[in-house]
Amino acid sequence: MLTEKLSLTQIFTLIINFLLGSSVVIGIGMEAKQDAWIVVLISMFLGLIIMSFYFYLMSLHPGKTLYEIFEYCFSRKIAIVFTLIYSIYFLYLSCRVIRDFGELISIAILPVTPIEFTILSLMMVIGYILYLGIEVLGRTSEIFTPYTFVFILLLLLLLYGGERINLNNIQPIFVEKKLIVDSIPSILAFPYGELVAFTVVLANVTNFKMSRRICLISVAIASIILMAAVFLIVACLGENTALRTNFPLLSAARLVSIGEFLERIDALVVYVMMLGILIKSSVFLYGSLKGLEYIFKLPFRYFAMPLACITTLFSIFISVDFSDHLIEGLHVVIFLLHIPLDYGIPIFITFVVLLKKWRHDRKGLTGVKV
Amino acid sequence: MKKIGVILSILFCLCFLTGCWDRKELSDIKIVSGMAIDKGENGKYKVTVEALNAVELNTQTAGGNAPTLVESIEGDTVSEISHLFNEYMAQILVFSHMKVLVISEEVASRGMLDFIDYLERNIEMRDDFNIIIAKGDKAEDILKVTTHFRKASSLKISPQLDHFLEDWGGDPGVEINDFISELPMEGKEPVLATVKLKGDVEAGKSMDNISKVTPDTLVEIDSLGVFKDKKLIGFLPLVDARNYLWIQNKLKRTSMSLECKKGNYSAVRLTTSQTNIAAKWKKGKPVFHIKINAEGYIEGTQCYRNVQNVGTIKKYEKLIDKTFSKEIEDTVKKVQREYGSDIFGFGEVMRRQHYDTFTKVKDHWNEVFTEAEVKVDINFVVRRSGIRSKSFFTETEQ
Amino acid sequence: MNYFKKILSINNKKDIPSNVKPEKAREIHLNTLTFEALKEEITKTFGSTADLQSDIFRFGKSEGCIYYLETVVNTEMLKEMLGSTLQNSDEEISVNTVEDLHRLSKKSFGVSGYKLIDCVKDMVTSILEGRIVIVFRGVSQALSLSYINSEGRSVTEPTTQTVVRGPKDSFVEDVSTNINLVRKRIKNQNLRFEKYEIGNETRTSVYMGYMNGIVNEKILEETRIRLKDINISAIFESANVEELIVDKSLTVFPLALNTERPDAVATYMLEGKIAIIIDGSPFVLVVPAVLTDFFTSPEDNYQNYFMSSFVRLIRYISFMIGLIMPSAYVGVLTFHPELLPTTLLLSVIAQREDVPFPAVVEVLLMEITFEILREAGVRMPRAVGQTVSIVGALVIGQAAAEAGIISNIMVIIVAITAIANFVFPNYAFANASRLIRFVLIIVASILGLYGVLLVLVFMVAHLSSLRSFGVPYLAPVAPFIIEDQKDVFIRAPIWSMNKRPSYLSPNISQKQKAQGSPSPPKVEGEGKKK
Repeated sequence: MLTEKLSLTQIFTLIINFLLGSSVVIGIGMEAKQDAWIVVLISMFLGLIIMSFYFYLMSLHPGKTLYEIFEYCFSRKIAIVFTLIYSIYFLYLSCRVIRDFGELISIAILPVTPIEFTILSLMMVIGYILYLGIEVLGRTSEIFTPYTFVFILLLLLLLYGGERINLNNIQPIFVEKKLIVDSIPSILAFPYGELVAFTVVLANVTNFKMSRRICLISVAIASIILMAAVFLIVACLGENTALRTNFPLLSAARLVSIGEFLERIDALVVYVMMLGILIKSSVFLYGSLKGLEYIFKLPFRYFAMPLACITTLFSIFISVDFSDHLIEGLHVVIFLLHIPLDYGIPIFITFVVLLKKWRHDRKGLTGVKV
Repeated sequence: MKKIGVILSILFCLCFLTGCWDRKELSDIKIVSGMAIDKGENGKYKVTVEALNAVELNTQTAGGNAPTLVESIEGDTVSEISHLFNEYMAQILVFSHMKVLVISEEVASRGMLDFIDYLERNIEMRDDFNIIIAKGDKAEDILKVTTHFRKASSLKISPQLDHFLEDWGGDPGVEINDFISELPMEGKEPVLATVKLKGDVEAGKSMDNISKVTPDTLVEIDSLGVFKDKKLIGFLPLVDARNYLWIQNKLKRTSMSLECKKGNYSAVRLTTSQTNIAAKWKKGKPVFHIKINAEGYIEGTQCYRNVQNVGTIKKYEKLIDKTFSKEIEDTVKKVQREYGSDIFGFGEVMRRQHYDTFTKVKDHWNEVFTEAEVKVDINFVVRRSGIRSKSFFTETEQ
Repeated sequence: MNYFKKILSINNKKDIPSNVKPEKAREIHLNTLTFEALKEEITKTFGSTADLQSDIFRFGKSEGCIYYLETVVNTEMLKEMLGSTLQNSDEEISVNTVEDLHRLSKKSFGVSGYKLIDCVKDMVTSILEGRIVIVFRGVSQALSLSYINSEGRSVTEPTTQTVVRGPKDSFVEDVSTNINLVRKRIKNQNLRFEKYEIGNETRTSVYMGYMNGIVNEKILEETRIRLKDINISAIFESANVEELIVDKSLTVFPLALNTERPDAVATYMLEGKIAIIIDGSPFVLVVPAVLTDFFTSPEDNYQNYFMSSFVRLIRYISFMIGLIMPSAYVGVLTFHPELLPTTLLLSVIAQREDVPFPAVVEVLLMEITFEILREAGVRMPRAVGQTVSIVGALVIGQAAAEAGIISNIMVIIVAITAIANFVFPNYAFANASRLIRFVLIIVASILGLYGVLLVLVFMVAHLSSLRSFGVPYLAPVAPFIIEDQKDVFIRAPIWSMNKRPSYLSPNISQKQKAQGSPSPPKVEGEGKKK
C-alpha cells in the first residue's frame, strides 16, 4: 500500500475549501443582522484556538490518526467502539453537506431533476476521487483553489463596480451586542467544530512541524474570506433580505450587472459552492473510510465506492424537506452531536494521552511502577 | 471486474433512459418581458404578460407583424396565473428576462401587494426589473403600446427609466430588492415611479402607431408615487422626484434652471453630487442637516454678465445654493404636510446615528417626521462654462 | 451462458493445419560443422530466399565463402572491396587458423571495423543486419564486416511540428542518422545511448539516450527495466513501444511525448528526460512526460518571451474552449436560457426558429460531420486535403444552415472549436480533447452546466492520479512547486531560468549561473569626482 503524502500547499487549500464549503452556501452569523461580519471576525479567533487544539492533539502522536490515538489511550476493543461512533458521525456530516448542495442545485438550477440523481452523479465523482486516494484529492483541490479565489475576488469587484454595495446597510455598527453574543455558540459547531475531521487527514502530511503554521494561516484566510462574503451579502442585500434568503451568496451574486453584458453569473457562485462542498464531503468521507480501514484492516479504497453510494441514500433519508434539514442541522444536532463529539471526546482524549505520557515518563525516570 | 462492468452499464442506462427532466428547448419557450397587475373582477388579481415574438424583434427575420403578444388572465395567485398562459399562447413562458413590472394605481392604493412574495421567492425571476405604477385606469394598457425603440413596450420602458435616472434624475431606480426591504422598514417609506399613457390605447395597439413621426400613443413618465403603511397615498411631480433623489444621494446628473434676473434664466448642469445627512435631537424633535457638495458647469445663460469674471461665477454659485436649498426644503415640507410619510429615509439616518433614541420612537416615526426640522446647505462649485467665455450679448448689453 | 458460448464457438473456423513452421536459428558452434555443412545450414536457415548470396571464392591457397543479403548490403562498396582486397592477393597467402584471420583482417580490414564470430546464430544476425560474413575452410571463426546500406529518406522539414523560426530539420527513419542529428547538437561525452533489440520477429533496434549525470538514476533504471520486459512480436513505430512501456492506466491522455524535431529532443534530454529512438520511425519518444510538456512547443524558446507567454496562454485558453464550447452551447440553450443577455437570446431564438432538431442533436451531427471531414482531409492527397477539411466544413455548415438543418450559431461554434483544437503542438493530446468533448456534450444534454462541471472535476481528478514513470502527471501545477512556475503558463526570459525542472529530480539542478538581464553599458567617467 503506497503511503500517500500531502504537501503543505495541499493542506492549505484543503482547509480553506473545507471551511468555505457549506458556510458560504448557507451563510453563518446571519442572526446578528448587520453585524454578521463582526460575528465572523470574532469566530476567527475562536477558530484559531480550536485549530491549535486539534493540532496539539495530533502533535502528541505525530503521524497517527485519531483512531490510532484512541488505541493508544485504551485497548483496541474500546477504540473500535469509538472509531465506529466517529465513522458514523463523519458519514452523517458528509450526508448533511451533500444534502445542502443537492438542495441548492434543486432550488436554483435544476428544479425538476430528481434530487437523487443530482446527488448520485456528484457522489460518483467523489467516490472515484476517494478511490484514487487522498493525494488525488489534494491535487484536485490545489488545482481548483486559485479559481475559487479569483471568482470570489471577481464577485467583490463586480458588485463594487455595479454600485450594489451600500454601506448604509452595514450601519449602525456594533449596537446589538446581545445578538452577536447569541450567534457565537452555533459558530463553534458549524463550521469550526468540523475541523475534527482534519485529525485524520493531518496524519498524512509530509512535514508535520511546518504544517502547524500553515493550518493556522489557512484557518485565518478562510475566515477572512468568509467575513468578506458575509460583508458583501449584508451590504448588497440589506439585513432584511439577507436574513430571509436560503442561499445568501447566490442571491447577492444575482445582483451583479455590469454594462448590461456581464449579468446573470449564478454559475460562478454555484461553481464555488460545488467545489467547497465536494472537498468538504470528500474529507469527511475520507475520515469515515480511515475509520473503517482501522476496524477491518483492509485498504480503504475497497470501501470508497460503496460508502459513496450509502451517502447518496442517506442524504435523502435524513430529512424530509428543506426546513427539516435546516432545523435539524443548525439547531437540534449542535448540542446532541457536535459539541460532545467535536470537543468533549477530544478534550477527554487529550487528558488521557497527557496522563499516560506523564505516567510513562515517571516510569521511565524512576523505574518504579507508579 | 465483470460485476463492476454490469453495475456501470446499469448506471449508464439510468442516465440515458430516464430522460432529461429540466430540458427546455428553445423552440418551446417564449420570453416574457413585462408583467402588469390589475385588480381583477372575478379573482383577486388580473395578470397581463407581454411575451416577445423573437422572429419580429430580429431585424433580419422581421416581417412587419406585431412584436409582442399581450394577454390577461384573472385568478387568485399570480403564480398559478403565470402557468395558465398556455390558454392563449403556444409555448411555455419563461420569466427570467422580465424587464418591467407595472402595478395599477388601484392595486397599490388598496395595499394588495402580497403578490410580491411570489416574485421574490421564485428562482426564475431575477432582481433587476423596474417596478412602476400605472396612473389612471389599467396597468395592462401600458404594455399594449408599440414603440419605435425595439418595438416592444417593456423593452422601451426599461432603458427609458434607467436613462431618465442617469440623465436628469426623474426615476427613483427602485428594484424589487429595494422595494421589499423598504416596505417593512420603520424609518423609510418606499416610492415608485409612475407612468401614464399619453393618447388612446386602441390606437397604440397596432403597428400603425410607429409608422408615424409622432406616434398616437406613448408611455410617459409622469410622477413619483408615495407610499405610506404599504399603501399608495399620492403622487409627487417630477421636480420633487429629482429632489428626492438628491436627498438620497442617488442623483447622478441633472440640469437646473435658475432665475438670475427677473424673467431671465440660466441653466446649470450638475455632474457630481455628494449628500451627507446629519441627524440630531433638539428638545424631542429631530433636526436634520442636509449637506450637499456638488459640481457642475454652466450650460446656457440668459443673463449677460461676463462669465469669465470670478465674481460672476461666485454669484452663480450663491444663487444655486439659495434657490435649490429652498427647493429641497420645500419638497420636504410638502411631503410632511400633505402625506406625512417619511419617504426620504430620515428615520434610517436617525437609526444609524442615534440608535437608542430612534428605537424609542420607531413605532410612530411618521408622526415624529412630520414635526422634523430640515435644513439644507448646498455647496455648489461651477467649474466650467462650455466652449464660450462671454455670452454674445454681453457686449451689446453693456 | 455456457450454451451461448458453445453456439458461438461452433462458428469459429478451425485453424488450417500447415506443415510449415517458423524457423529459429540454431545455436551451433562453427567448429562443429564442416565447410559444406555450414553452407547448407545457412541456406536452410534462410530458406532459399532470393536475396541471399553465398559465393565460394579462392583466396590464395584457401577457400572461402561469403554470405550476404544483397538487398541489405551496399553492393557498390562490396564489389569494390571484393575486387581490391580479395582478388588482388598474392598466390601464396593462406588462411588456416584464427590467427591468420586476425592478421588478414588487421592488414586489410582493420580500419573498416571487423568482428570475429563463432556461432551460427550470430552469423545469421550479422547477415540480417547488413554485414557480410566470410568463412574460410578450416577456420573455426568467421569474419564479419559491415557494409550496411543506409539509404533512406533524406533529412527534410518536419511535417507535423513546424515552426516559424528555428531549425527545420527533422528525424528520418534511419536510426544512425537520427542519433547523428542529436549528437550534432549536444557535443558532450555524457550523452549516452544504450541499444536494445525489441520485437521477437522484427528485432528492431531501439536506442535509449540520456545525459549521464543530469538524468535521475531511478527513472533511468525504471526505463531500462520496462524496455527489457517488452515481449511482443513486432515493433514498427515508436507508438508501439509507447503503449508497452508507459504506466498501465486506462486513459485517453498520452503519457509520453513524441516529437519529430531533434532540437526538441536535445532540450528535453538536457532537462533530464530520456529519449527513445526506434529504428524505422521518425518519431522519437521522450519520457517521462507531464501535462505542461504538451502545451509547449520548441518554438517557445525561439521567440520573444512576451510573445511566447501570450501564445502559451492562448494555448491553454483554446484547450478549454475546444473542450467546453459545444457542451456549454448545449447546456446553456437547453437548461439555462436565463444566463444569456436578452438581446443575444432573442437573436438566437430567431435564428433557431426553423431548425427541426433539438440543440444536442444539432451539435452531435455537426461534430461528427466535422470529424469525418477531418479524417478525410488527412487521407486525401496533400494538395487537396488541406483545403477540403476546414473550408469544406465551413461551406457544408453554411449550406446546412441555409437549408434550415442547423443554425448559424452552430456553424460558428463548431468552427471555433475545431480551430481551437488545431492550436495544439501535440497531436495525441488534441485527440484526447476531441474524445472528451463528446462525453461533455452528452452529459451537458442530461444535466446541463452542472453536468459539465462534474465531468471537468472528474477529468481533473483523473489527470491528478496519472503518473508517468513515477512523476505526477500534473507537476508542477499540482503538487505546486513554486520554482518551476517560470515555464508553465508563461515563458520567463532565458537568463532567469536557472534551474532544471525539479519534478524530474535531476542530479544537477542548477542549469546556469544566476545572471541578471542584460543592461546597457555603463557610461565612462560616471561616479568619478570632477
